[in-house]
This record gives sequence, C-alpha cells and structure tokens, in this order.
Amino acid sequence: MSNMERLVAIYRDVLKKPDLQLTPELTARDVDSWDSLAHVQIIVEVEKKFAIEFDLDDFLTIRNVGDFFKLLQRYGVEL
Amino acid sequence: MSNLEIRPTSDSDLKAVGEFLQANLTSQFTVDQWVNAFTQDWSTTKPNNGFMLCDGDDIVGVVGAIYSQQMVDGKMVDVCNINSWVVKPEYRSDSIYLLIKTVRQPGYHFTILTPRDQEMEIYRFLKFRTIVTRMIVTANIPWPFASLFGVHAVTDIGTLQQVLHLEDARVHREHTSSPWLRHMAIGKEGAYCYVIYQRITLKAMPTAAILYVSDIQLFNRYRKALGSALLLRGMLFMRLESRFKTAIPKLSVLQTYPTPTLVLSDLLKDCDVLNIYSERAALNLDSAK
Repeated sequence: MSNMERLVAIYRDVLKKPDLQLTPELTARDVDSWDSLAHVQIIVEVEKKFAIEFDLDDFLTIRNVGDFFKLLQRYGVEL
Repeated sequence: MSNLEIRPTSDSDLKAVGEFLQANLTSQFTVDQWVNAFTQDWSTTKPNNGFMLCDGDDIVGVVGAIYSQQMVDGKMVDVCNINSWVVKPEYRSDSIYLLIKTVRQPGYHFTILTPRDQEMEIYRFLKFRTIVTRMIVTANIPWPFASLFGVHAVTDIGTLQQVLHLEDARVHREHTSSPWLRHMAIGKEGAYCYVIYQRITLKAMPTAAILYVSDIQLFNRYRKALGSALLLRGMLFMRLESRFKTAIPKLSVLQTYPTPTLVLSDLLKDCDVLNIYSERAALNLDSAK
C-alpha cells in the first residue's frame, strides 16, 4: 500500500465516508462529518501510521488537504 | 477558510463575545455577566480574553481565557483558565484552531475546569492531563469547644484583611467582587486557614461547596470548628474535592466529581489547580442550575 493509499484509508475511516475522494482543494467544510474531533482523529492516526509527531503550530496554516500533504512532505513522508 | 480569521479577544470585543456566548452557549448569563467574568482583576499581564473565530466581521466561534497570577511553591506563575469554547455548527471543523492558538501562548500554565465529554479526546491530543478527583461530603456537626481552644471564625471583610497572611489577603481582595462567594478564616491568631466557599443545595440540603483552602494542614486541624461555624450559618454539609489532600472524616460520603479537571503544565500539581481563578468563581455557575 502506498503512502497516499494509507492516507486515503485514514480519511475514509475517520470520516466514515468509504467513497471519499481526496483532492488537494478538499476542506473540512466540504464533508459534513469532518468536525474538530474528526480533525484531531485524522492527525492522531497519521502520526501513528507514519511514526511522526507534528508541532501544533503546523496546523495553524493548514487550510485544505493539499496543505496537509505539503506538511507531511516536510516531515519526510513521500507522496 | 478564506474569510476566516482568528483574532485575540480584546476588552472592546467582550460585549460582542458576551452576546455570542449568550446566543450560542447558554442564555443563563447576561451579556454583562459574561463581560464581568472576563474582566476580573487577577492578572497584571493579561494578553487577551481568549480568541474569536471571525468570518469577515461576524464572530462565529469563541474560546474564553481567564488569566491569573498565582503563588505556587513560593513563586508567582501565570495561569490561563480556558473556558466557554463554542463554535457555530457550520464552522466546527475550524474550532480546534481556537484552542491551538490559546495553548501556544508561551509562559502560561493552562487549566480547564468545565470540559464536555465530547471534547476530551481533543484535550488529550493537546496533551492536557486529567486530574482524578472526588467529592468528599461531610455533615457539619456542632462543636461547642472552639472558643475554649481559642479558635475563631472570622467573616467580616475588614477583620479578614487583618488576620490573613499577605498572600491570602491578596486572594481575598481579588474575590470580594463576586457576591456568590463567601469567605471565612478559621483558626487562632497567626494560624488562620482561609476558606472560600459557595452556598449550594445538595439533595435539597444547604451545603458549603469549598472552592479554596489556603492551608490544608490548618484546615484539617480546624475542620470541626469550621463545620460548626458553617452549621451556625445554616449549612448542614460541607463539600470539598479529594485532590486537595484533605483528611477524610469517618462519616464522609465520597461522590464522583461531575466533570474532569484538566491541566497542561509541567509545574502545577493536582492541588495547585485552583477553582477560584476560573469560571467557577467568575460566574455564579451554581445559580445557573
């Protein structure tokens, strides 16, 4: 499974949307089940699966999935 | 989130924030009561009153912060009590940023005293520690020997200022503007325990909910005298949190604490998290039930 496939699986699982298509422009406001708790759950799952620990400040600049992918790349995750 | 912005809540924003909280969190407090809650004179270095999530000129989310300076192990430390976190449903996905912005302020120790169950996972993610505490409820029994032992209960404001130590006198001055808080010093000259409590109703019984104890050893020593003094004032029971390490009298009842207490600090111990520098003292929460 590629890193992108693992990411998609996390989003689909947490947001309970098995058919969710991840695009760089996708934002939390496009998905009704994506609230603050889901946001945190996605982050916690990504930290676990990719063995990284984000700095809280990182999240203040994230506006969409594309921003999150860029952040992951800064932490050395190849996408 | 193109039009969304997180802004610090200044004193001039408080009326609008109070209106937002009244409309979106609880209508049990007036706008003025919300404003008063955030304008306590508990810190000389208050940076804000929390943060607002704004969509253009509209407030769509709020987190409240009540700042205080407290004496911990002989050193004055800056504490930020986080409360009243609420965001309009359509902006829920952005609400976490309000909390992140708040806890990223350097130099503060953070407390949360009224978290909701559904928020706990978010607080754990932000590294808050949960304090396990229980309620100790004890019947107040007449103890007529206080005066024989030279033990006095002092409640008069002027006399309290005279008998309390410097730090306790400061704590007292900082809380005299909240009429729902009651103050008592119990003990002897040079060894008074200062107690702040609120009269509440517990199972239809008038009860003193102890919010602050200045010295737990003195509290244990003068507990009977305190109970007797409270009984004289019509309170049949006293209630205190177990985290304050008080002795547990034989006939006490232990109750589960209704909400967890959370702390984000490498310094504050469980007993250092003070109710009296939070919304529990800044708002008359028990009147809202």
